[in-house]
Amino acid sequence: MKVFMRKLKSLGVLLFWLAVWQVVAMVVGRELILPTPLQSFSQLFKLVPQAFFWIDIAVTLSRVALGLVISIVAGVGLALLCHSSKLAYQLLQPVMSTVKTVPVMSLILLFLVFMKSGIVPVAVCTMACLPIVFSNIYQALENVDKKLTEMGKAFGLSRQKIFLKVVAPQIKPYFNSAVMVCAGFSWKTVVTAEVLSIPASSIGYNLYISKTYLDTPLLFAWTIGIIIISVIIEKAIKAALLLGDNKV
Amino acid sequence: MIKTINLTKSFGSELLFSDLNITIPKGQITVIVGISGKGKTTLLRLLAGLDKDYQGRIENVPERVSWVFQEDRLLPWLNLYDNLALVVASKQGALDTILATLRLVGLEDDKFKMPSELSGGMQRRAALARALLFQADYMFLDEPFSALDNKTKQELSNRLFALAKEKGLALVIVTHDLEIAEKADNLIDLGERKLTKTYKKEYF
Repeated sequence: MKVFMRKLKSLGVLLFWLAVWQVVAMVVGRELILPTPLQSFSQLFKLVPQAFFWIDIAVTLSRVALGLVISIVAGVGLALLCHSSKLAYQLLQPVMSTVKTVPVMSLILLFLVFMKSGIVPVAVCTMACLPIVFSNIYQALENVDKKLTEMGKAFGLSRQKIFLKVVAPQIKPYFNSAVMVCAGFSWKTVVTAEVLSIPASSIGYNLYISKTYLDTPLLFAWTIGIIIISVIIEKAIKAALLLGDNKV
Repeated sequence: MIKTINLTKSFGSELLFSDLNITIPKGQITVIVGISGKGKTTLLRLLAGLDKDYQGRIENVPERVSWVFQEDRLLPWLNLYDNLALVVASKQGALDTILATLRLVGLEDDKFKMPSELSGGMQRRAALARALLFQADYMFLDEPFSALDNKTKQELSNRLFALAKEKGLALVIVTHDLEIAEKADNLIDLGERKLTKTYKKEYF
Protein backbone atom coordinates (compact mmCIF):
# COMPACT_ATOMS: atom_id res chain seq x y z
CA MET A 1 0.00 0.00 0.00
CA LYS A 2 2.84 2.35 0.96
CA VAL A 3 4.66 1.62 -2.31
CA PHE A 4 1.45 2.21 -4.27
CA MET A 5 0.89 5.56 -2.54
CA ARG A 6 4.49 6.57 -3.20
CA LYS A 7 4.18 5.70 -6.88
CA LEU A 8 0.86 7.56 -7.06
CA LYS A 9 2.56 10.60 -5.54
CA SER A 10 5.40 10.43 -8.08
CA LEU A 11 2.85 10.17 -10.89
CA GLY A 12 1.04 13.19 -9.47
CA VAL A 13 4.28 15.21 -9.44
CA LEU A 14 5.00 14.16 -13.05
CA LEU A 15 1.50 15.14 -14.19
CA PHE A 16 1.82 18.47 -12.39
CA TRP A 17 5.03 19.38 -14.26
CA LEU A 18 3.61 18.17 -17.56
CA ALA A 19 0.63 20.47 -16.93
CA VAL A 20 3.02 23.37 -16.19
CA TRP A 21 4.88 22.59 -19.43
CA GLN A 22 1.59 22.49 -21.35
CA VAL A 23 0.47 25.86 -19.92
CA VAL A 24 3.82 27.55 -20.60
CA ALA A 25 3.89 26.13 -24.17
CA MET A 26 0.34 27.42 -24.76
CA VAL A 27 1.31 30.84 -23.43
CA VAL A 28 4.41 30.94 -25.67
CA GLY A 29 2.27 29.67 -28.52
CA ARG A 30 5.15 28.81 -30.85
CA GLU A 31 6.13 25.22 -31.52
CA LEU A 32 9.54 26.39 -32.74
CA ILE A 33 10.45 27.78 -29.30
CA LEU A 34 8.58 25.44 -26.99
CA PRO A 35 6.47 22.54 -28.28
CA THR A 36 3.71 21.16 -26.07
CA PRO A 37 4.17 17.83 -24.28
CA LEU A 38 1.68 16.28 -26.69
CA GLN A 39 3.70 17.42 -29.74
CA SER A 40 6.94 16.18 -28.20
CA PHE A 41 5.58 12.79 -27.14
CA SER A 42 3.82 12.21 -30.46
CA GLN A 43 7.15 12.90 -32.17
CA LEU A 44 8.78 10.38 -29.83
CA PHE A 45 6.11 7.79 -30.64
CA LYS A 46 6.86 8.30 -34.33
CA LEU A 47 10.55 7.61 -33.65
CA VAL A 48 10.11 4.50 -31.48
CA PRO A 49 9.04 2.05 -34.25
CA GLN A 50 11.91 3.11 -36.51
CA ALA A 51 15.06 0.94 -36.56
CA PHE A 52 17.50 3.87 -36.76
CA PHE A 53 16.17 5.21 -33.41
CA TRP A 54 17.25 2.05 -31.62
CA ILE A 55 20.48 1.66 -33.58
CA ASP A 56 21.52 5.23 -32.77
CA ILE A 57 20.67 4.71 -29.11
CA ALA A 58 22.67 1.47 -29.09
CA VAL A 59 25.69 3.17 -30.66
CA THR A 60 25.63 6.01 -28.11
CA LEU A 61 25.04 3.52 -25.33
CA SER A 62 28.07 1.51 -26.40
CA ARG A 63 30.17 4.69 -26.28
CA VAL A 64 28.88 5.45 -22.78
CA ALA A 65 29.60 1.88 -21.65
CA LEU A 66 33.09 1.91 -23.18
CA GLY A 67 33.98 5.28 -21.64
CA LEU A 68 32.61 4.18 -18.28
CA VAL A 69 34.46 0.85 -18.27
CA ILE A 70 37.76 2.45 -19.31
CA SER A 71 37.48 5.15 -16.64
CA ILE A 72 36.56 2.63 -13.95
CA VAL A 73 39.37 0.20 -14.82
CA ALA A 74 41.95 2.96 -15.24
CA GLY A 75 40.69 4.91 -12.21
CA VAL A 76 40.86 1.88 -9.91
CA GLY A 77 44.25 0.84 -11.33
CA LEU A 78 45.79 4.29 -10.93
CA ALA A 79 44.34 4.69 -7.43
CA LEU A 80 45.91 1.36 -6.43
CA LEU A 81 49.22 2.46 -7.95
CA CYS A 82 49.12 5.81 -6.12
CA HIS A 83 48.18 4.11 -2.87
CA SER A 84 51.23 1.88 -3.08
CA SER A 85 53.67 4.46 -4.43
CA LYS A 86 54.04 7.99 -3.07
CA LEU A 87 56.00 8.99 -6.17
CA ALA A 88 53.17 7.83 -8.43
CA TYR A 89 50.72 9.83 -6.31
CA GLN A 90 52.89 12.95 -6.50
CA LEU A 91 53.08 12.58 -10.28
CA LEU A 92 49.46 11.71 -10.97
CA GLN A 93 47.48 13.67 -8.40
CA PRO A 94 48.11 17.11 -10.01
CA VAL A 95 47.18 15.68 -13.43
CA MET A 96 43.91 14.31 -12.07
CA SER A 97 43.09 17.58 -10.32
CA THR A 98 43.79 19.51 -13.51
CA VAL A 99 41.73 17.19 -15.71
CA LYS A 100 38.86 17.49 -13.23
CA THR A 101 38.76 21.27 -13.64
CA VAL A 102 39.07 21.36 -17.45
CA PRO A 103 35.65 22.15 -18.98
CA VAL A 104 34.15 19.28 -20.97
CA MET A 105 33.76 21.62 -23.94
CA SER A 106 37.52 22.30 -23.99
CA LEU A 107 38.22 18.57 -23.97
CA ILE A 108 35.82 17.99 -26.87
CA LEU A 109 37.32 20.77 -29.00
CA LEU A 110 40.85 19.63 -28.18
CA PHE A 111 40.20 15.98 -29.02
CA LEU A 112 38.40 16.94 -32.24
CA VAL A 113 41.71 18.24 -33.56
CA PHE A 114 43.41 14.85 -33.60
CA MET A 115 40.78 12.18 -33.10
CA LYS A 116 38.11 10.59 -35.27
CA SER A 117 34.62 11.88 -34.49
CA GLY A 118 33.43 8.47 -33.27
CA ILE A 119 36.22 8.21 -30.71
CA VAL A 120 35.94 11.74 -29.32
CA PRO A 121 32.84 11.02 -27.15
CA VAL A 122 34.51 7.95 -25.62
CA ALA A 123 37.72 9.87 -24.91
CA VAL A 124 35.84 12.83 -23.41
CA CYS A 125 33.70 10.52 -21.27
CA THR A 126 36.83 8.77 -20.03
CA MET A 127 38.59 12.04 -19.21
CA ALA A 128 35.52 13.34 -17.39
CA CYS A 129 34.87 10.21 -15.34
CA LEU A 130 38.42 9.01 -14.68
CA PRO A 131 39.29 11.66 -12.04
CA ILE A 132 36.02 10.97 -10.21
CA VAL A 133 36.72 7.23 -10.00
CA PHE A 134 40.38 7.84 -9.18
CA SER A 135 39.77 10.28 -6.33
CA ASN A 136 36.98 8.18 -4.81
CA ILE A 137 38.95 4.94 -4.86
CA TYR A 138 42.18 6.60 -3.72
CA GLN A 139 40.34 8.19 -0.80
CA ALA A 140 38.74 4.83 0.01
CA LEU A 141 42.12 3.09 0.02
CA GLU A 142 43.60 5.78 2.26
CA ASN A 143 40.68 5.41 4.67
CA VAL A 144 40.89 1.62 4.94
CA ASP A 145 41.03 0.74 8.63
CA LYS A 146 44.62 -0.42 9.11
CA LYS A 147 43.75 -2.07 12.41
CA LEU A 148 41.32 -4.39 10.65
CA THR A 149 43.93 -5.24 8.02
CA GLU A 150 46.41 -5.93 10.82
CA MET A 151 43.83 -8.19 12.44
CA GLY A 152 43.55 -10.13 9.19
CA LYS A 153 47.33 -10.51 8.97
CA ALA A 154 47.62 -11.46 12.63
CA PHE A 155 45.10 -14.25 12.13
CA GLY A 156 47.00 -15.54 9.12
CA LEU A 157 44.48 -14.65 6.41
CA SER A 158 45.82 -14.83 2.86
CA ARG A 159 46.31 -11.55 0.96
CA GLN A 160 43.40 -12.46 -1.29
CA LYS A 161 41.12 -13.10 1.69
CA ILE A 162 42.21 -9.87 3.38
CA PHE A 163 41.37 -7.96 0.21
CA LEU A 164 38.00 -9.65 -0.33
CA LYS A 165 36.77 -9.80 3.26
CA VAL A 166 38.46 -6.84 4.92
CA VAL A 167 39.47 -4.22 2.34
CA ALA A 168 36.86 -4.57 -0.44
CA PRO A 169 33.81 -3.99 1.80
CA GLN A 170 35.39 -0.72 2.93
CA ILE A 171 36.03 0.40 -0.67
CA LYS A 172 32.62 -0.67 -1.97
CA PRO A 173 30.62 2.42 -0.83
CA TYR A 174 33.17 4.76 -2.47
CA PHE A 175 33.16 2.63 -5.63
CA ASN A 176 29.36 2.57 -5.79
CA SER A 177 29.16 6.32 -5.31
CA ALA A 178 31.76 6.92 -8.07
CA VAL A 179 29.94 4.62 -10.50
CA MET A 180 26.58 6.25 -9.82
CA VAL A 181 27.96 9.76 -10.33
CA CYS A 182 29.80 8.68 -13.48
CA ALA A 183 26.76 6.83 -14.87
CA GLY A 184 24.80 10.08 -15.04
CA PHE A 185 27.78 12.19 -16.02
CA SER A 186 28.93 9.89 -18.82
CA TRP A 187 25.58 10.21 -20.64
CA LYS A 188 25.78 13.97 -20.61
CA THR A 189 29.39 14.12 -21.78
CA VAL A 190 28.98 11.50 -24.52
CA VAL A 191 25.86 13.15 -25.99
CA THR A 192 27.45 16.62 -25.74
CA ALA A 193 30.58 15.35 -27.48
CA GLU A 194 28.45 13.68 -30.16
CA VAL A 195 26.60 16.94 -30.85
CA LEU A 196 29.91 18.66 -31.49
CA SER A 197 31.81 15.87 -33.22
CA ILE A 198 28.73 14.69 -35.17
CA PRO A 199 29.60 11.03 -35.65
CA ALA A 200 27.07 9.37 -37.98
CA SER A 201 24.50 7.25 -36.20
CA SER A 202 24.30 8.57 -32.65
CA ILE A 203 21.91 10.38 -30.35
CA GLY A 204 24.09 13.49 -30.54
CA TYR A 205 23.90 13.44 -34.33
CA ASN A 206 20.09 13.41 -34.17
CA LEU A 207 20.08 16.29 -31.71
CA TYR A 208 22.36 18.22 -34.03
CA ILE A 209 20.11 17.54 -37.04
CA SER A 210 16.95 18.56 -35.18
CA LYS A 211 18.67 21.79 -34.12
CA THR A 212 19.92 22.48 -37.66
CA TYR A 213 16.44 22.04 -39.14
CA LEU A 214 14.86 23.93 -36.26
CA ASP A 215 12.71 20.88 -35.54
CA THR A 216 12.17 21.62 -31.84
CA PRO A 217 9.57 18.85 -31.23
CA LEU A 218 12.11 16.33 -32.58
CA LEU A 219 14.77 17.82 -30.29
CA PHE A 220 12.40 17.44 -27.34
CA ALA A 221 11.47 13.89 -28.43
CA TRP A 222 15.12 12.82 -28.45
CA THR A 223 15.72 14.57 -25.13
CA ILE A 224 12.78 12.74 -23.56
CA GLY A 225 14.20 9.50 -24.99
CA ILE A 226 17.60 10.25 -23.44
CA ILE A 227 16.02 10.95 -20.05
CA ILE A 228 13.99 7.70 -20.11
CA ILE A 229 17.00 5.57 -21.11
CA SER A 230 19.21 7.35 -18.60
CA VAL A 231 16.75 6.60 -15.77
CA ILE A 232 16.49 2.94 -16.84
CA ILE A 233 20.28 2.56 -16.96
CA GLU A 234 20.73 4.30 -13.61
CA LYS A 235 18.23 1.90 -12.02
CA ALA A 236 19.92 -1.08 -13.68
CA ILE A 237 23.35 0.00 -12.38
CA LYS A 238 21.90 0.56 -8.90
CA ALA A 239 20.40 -2.94 -8.96
CA ALA A 240 23.69 -4.43 -10.16
CA LEU A 241 25.64 -2.66 -7.41
CA LEU A 242 23.13 -3.81 -4.81
CA LEU A 243 23.54 -7.36 -6.06
CA GLY A 244 27.31 -6.93 -5.76
CA ASP A 245 26.88 -5.62 -2.19
CA ASN A 246 24.99 -8.74 -1.20
CA LYS A 247 27.65 -10.97 -2.69
CA VAL A 248 30.64 -9.30 -0.96
CA MET B 1 59.84 -19.82 25.08
CA ILE B 2 60.07 -16.26 23.86
CA LYS B 3 63.10 -14.46 25.23
CA THR B 4 64.15 -10.83 25.01
CA ILE B 5 67.72 -9.70 25.37
CA ASN B 6 68.31 -6.03 26.17
CA LEU B 7 65.09 -5.12 24.40
CA THR B 8 64.78 -1.38 24.01
CA LYS B 9 61.95 0.53 22.41
CA SER B 10 61.55 4.23 21.86
CA PHE B 11 59.28 6.44 19.82
CA GLY B 12 61.50 9.16 18.39
CA SER B 13 63.33 10.69 21.33
CA GLU B 14 60.92 9.25 23.88
CA LEU B 15 62.28 6.09 25.53
CA LEU B 16 59.52 3.61 26.34
CA PHE B 17 61.61 0.92 28.01
CA SER B 18 65.23 -0.15 27.85
CA ASP B 19 67.33 -3.28 28.35
CA LEU B 20 64.33 -5.49 29.01
CA ASN B 21 65.34 -9.11 29.65
CA ILE B 22 62.26 -11.26 30.02
CA THR B 23 61.02 -14.73 29.12
CA ILE B 24 57.56 -15.87 28.11
CA PRO B 25 57.36 -19.61 28.86
CA LYS B 26 55.25 -21.94 26.74
CA GLY B 27 52.03 -23.24 28.26
CA GLN B 28 51.97 -20.68 31.08
CA ILE B 29 50.03 -17.54 31.87
CA THR B 30 52.11 -14.40 31.80
CA VAL B 31 50.69 -11.04 32.76
CA ILE B 32 52.18 -7.69 31.84
CA VAL B 33 51.24 -4.91 34.22
CA GLY B 34 52.27 -1.30 34.57
CA ILE B 35 50.90 2.20 34.53
CA SER B 36 49.54 3.69 31.31
CA GLY B 37 52.04 4.88 28.75
CA LYS B 38 54.80 2.52 29.86
CA GLY B 39 54.61 0.44 26.70
CA LYS B 40 52.62 -2.63 27.73
CA THR B 41 50.76 -2.89 24.42
CA THR B 42 53.96 -2.09 22.51
CA LEU B 43 55.79 -4.87 24.32
CA LEU B 44 52.95 -7.27 23.50
CA ARG B 45 53.18 -6.36 19.82
CA LEU B 46 56.96 -6.82 19.84
CA LEU B 47 56.71 -10.23 21.50
CA ALA B 48 54.10 -11.34 18.97
CA GLY B 49 56.17 -10.12 16.03
CA LEU B 50 53.60 -7.53 14.93
CA ASP B 51 56.06 -4.69 15.42
CA LYS B 52 59.64 -5.23 14.28
CA ASP B 53 61.08 -1.80 15.04
CA TYR B 54 63.19 -2.23 18.20
CA GLN B 55 66.71 -2.49 19.52
CA GLY B 56 68.11 -5.56 21.22
CA ARG B 57 67.01 -9.12 20.47
CA ILE B 58 63.87 -11.19 20.68
CA GLU B 59 64.38 -14.92 20.38
CA ASN B 60 61.83 -17.52 19.31
CA VAL B 61 59.12 -15.13 18.14
CA PRO B 62 56.24 -17.52 17.37
CA GLU B 63 55.11 -17.68 13.76
CA ARG B 64 51.49 -18.25 14.63
CA VAL B 65 49.77 -16.44 17.48
CA SER B 66 46.18 -15.58 18.25
CA TRP B 67 45.10 -12.17 19.42
CA VAL B 68 42.60 -10.28 21.47
CA PHE B 69 43.43 -6.72 20.52
CA GLN B 70 42.72 -3.73 22.72
CA GLU B 71 39.91 -2.85 20.31
CA ASP B 72 37.65 -5.75 19.35
CA ARG B 73 38.41 -5.42 15.62
CA LEU B 74 35.34 -7.32 14.50
CA LEU B 75 34.37 -6.73 10.88
CA PRO B 76 31.21 -4.59 11.10
CA TRP B 77 29.80 -5.94 7.80
CA LEU B 78 29.90 -9.59 8.90
CA ASN B 79 27.69 -11.20 11.50
CA LEU B 80 29.23 -12.79 14.56
CA TYR B 81 29.32 -16.28 13.06
CA ASP B 82 31.04 -15.09 9.86
CA ASN B 83 33.51 -13.03 11.88
CA LEU B 84 34.59 -16.17 13.67
CA ALA B 85 34.46 -18.38 10.58
CA LEU B 86 37.00 -16.06 8.96
CA VAL B 87 39.84 -17.33 11.14
CA VAL B 88 38.91 -21.01 11.00
CA ALA B 89 41.28 -22.63 8.53
CA SER B 90 39.33 -25.79 7.80
CA LYS B 91 35.69 -25.63 6.76
CA GLN B 92 35.23 -29.23 7.88
CA GLY B 93 33.65 -29.27 11.31
CA ALA B 94 33.82 -25.49 11.46
CA LEU B 95 30.15 -25.12 12.36
CA ASP B 96 30.42 -27.31 15.46
CA THR B 97 33.71 -25.74 16.56
CA ILE B 98 32.37 -22.22 16.19
CA LEU B 99 29.15 -23.01 18.02
CA ALA B 100 31.05 -24.70 20.84
CA THR B 101 33.33 -21.67 21.21
CA LEU B 102 30.36 -19.30 21.15
CA ARG B 103 28.75 -21.41 23.87
CA LEU B 104 31.95 -21.12 25.90
CA VAL B 105 31.78 -17.33 25.87
CA GLY B 106 28.00 -17.26 26.25
CA LEU B 107 27.15 -15.92 22.80
CA GLU B 108 25.58 -18.95 21.14
CA ASP B 109 22.18 -17.27 20.79
CA ASP B 110 23.74 -14.18 19.21
CA LYS B 111 25.58 -15.89 16.35
CA PHE B 112 23.67 -14.14 13.60
CA LYS B 113 23.82 -10.69 15.16
CA MET B 114 25.92 -7.96 13.59
CA PRO B 115 28.71 -6.50 15.79
CA SER B 116 26.76 -3.23 16.04
CA GLU B 117 23.93 -5.17 17.68
CA LEU B 118 26.22 -6.48 20.43
CA SER B 119 27.04 -4.63 23.64
CA GLY B 120 30.65 -3.67 24.45
CA GLY B 121 31.00 -6.68 26.71
CA MET B 122 29.54 -9.04 24.12
CA GLN B 123 31.93 -7.69 21.47
CA ARG B 124 34.81 -8.32 23.86
CA ARG B 125 33.65 -11.91 24.34
CA ALA B 126 33.32 -12.29 20.57
CA ALA B 127 36.92 -11.13 20.13
CA LEU B 128 37.97 -13.69 22.73
CA ALA B 129 36.00 -16.42 20.94
CA ARG B 130 37.76 -15.56 17.69
CA ALA B 131 41.16 -15.82 19.39
CA LEU B 132 40.21 -19.19 20.89
CA LEU B 133 39.22 -20.51 17.47
CA PHE B 134 42.59 -19.70 15.96
CA GLN B 135 44.80 -22.64 16.82
CA ALA B 136 48.17 -21.37 18.08
CA ASP B 137 50.64 -22.04 20.86
CA TYR B 138 50.52 -18.44 22.10
CA MET B 139 47.57 -16.15 22.67
CA PHE B 140 48.22 -12.44 23.18
CA LEU B 141 45.49 -10.54 24.98
CA ASP B 142 45.39 -6.77 25.42
CA GLU B 143 42.99 -5.83 28.23
CA PRO B 144 40.76 -8.80 27.35
CA PHE B 145 38.34 -8.39 30.24
CA SER B 146 37.76 -4.66 30.06
CA ALA B 147 34.11 -3.75 29.40
CA LEU B 148 32.99 -6.89 31.22
CA ASP B 149 31.08 -6.90 34.48
CA ASN B 150 32.82 -8.51 37.44
CA LYS B 151 30.81 -11.75 37.37
CA THR B 152 31.35 -12.32 33.62
CA LYS B 153 35.02 -11.40 34.00
CA GLN B 154 35.49 -14.01 36.73
CA GLU B 155 33.61 -16.71 34.82
CA LEU B 156 35.31 -16.04 31.53
CA SER B 157 38.85 -15.70 32.93
CA ASN B 158 38.43 -18.93 34.90
CA ARG B 159 37.22 -20.75 31.79
CA LEU B 160 39.98 -19.28 29.65
CA PHE B 161 42.73 -20.10 32.12
CA ALA B 162 41.46 -23.65 32.60
CA LEU B 163 41.27 -24.12 28.84
CA ALA B 164 44.79 -22.73 28.41
CA LYS B 165 46.15 -25.15 31.01
CA GLU B 166 44.26 -28.03 29.41
CA LYS B 167 45.56 -27.29 25.92
CA GLY B 168 49.03 -26.14 26.95
CA LEU B 169 48.33 -22.71 25.48
CA ALA B 170 50.53 -19.81 26.58
CA LEU B 171 48.59 -16.67 27.48
CA VAL B 172 50.31 -13.29 27.46
CA ILE B 173 47.96 -10.75 28.97
CA VAL B 174 48.24 -7.00 29.31
CA THR B 175 46.00 -5.78 32.08
CA HIS B 176 45.46 -3.21 34.79
CA ASP B 177 43.34 -5.72 36.66
CA LEU B 178 45.15 -7.07 39.73
CA GLU B 179 42.61 -9.89 40.16
CA ILE B 180 43.66 -11.22 36.77
CA ALA B 181 47.34 -10.65 37.56
CA GLU B 182 46.98 -12.76 40.68
CA LYS B 183 45.94 -15.76 38.59
CA ALA B 184 49.06 -15.62 36.44
CA ASP B 185 52.10 -17.89 36.55
CA ASN B 186 54.46 -15.05 35.69
CA LEU B 187 54.42 -11.30 36.00
CA ILE B 188 56.19 -8.63 34.03
CA ASP B 189 56.03 -5.21 35.64
CA LEU B 190 56.62 -2.22 33.41
CA GLY B 191 56.02 0.14 36.30
CA GLU B 192 58.00 2.96 37.76
CA ARG B 193 60.51 0.54 39.24
CA LYS B 194 61.64 -0.50 35.75
CA LEU B 195 61.76 -4.19 36.69
CA THR B 196 63.35 -6.05 33.86
CA LYS B 197 62.73 -9.65 34.76
CA THR B 198 59.96 -12.16 34.44
CA TYR B 199 58.85 -12.89 37.99
CA LYS B 200 57.44 -16.19 39.08
CA LYS B 201 54.10 -16.25 40.82
CA GLU B 202 55.82 -16.38 44.21
CA TYR B 203 56.67 -12.74 43.65
CA PHE B 204 53.12 -11.70 44.59
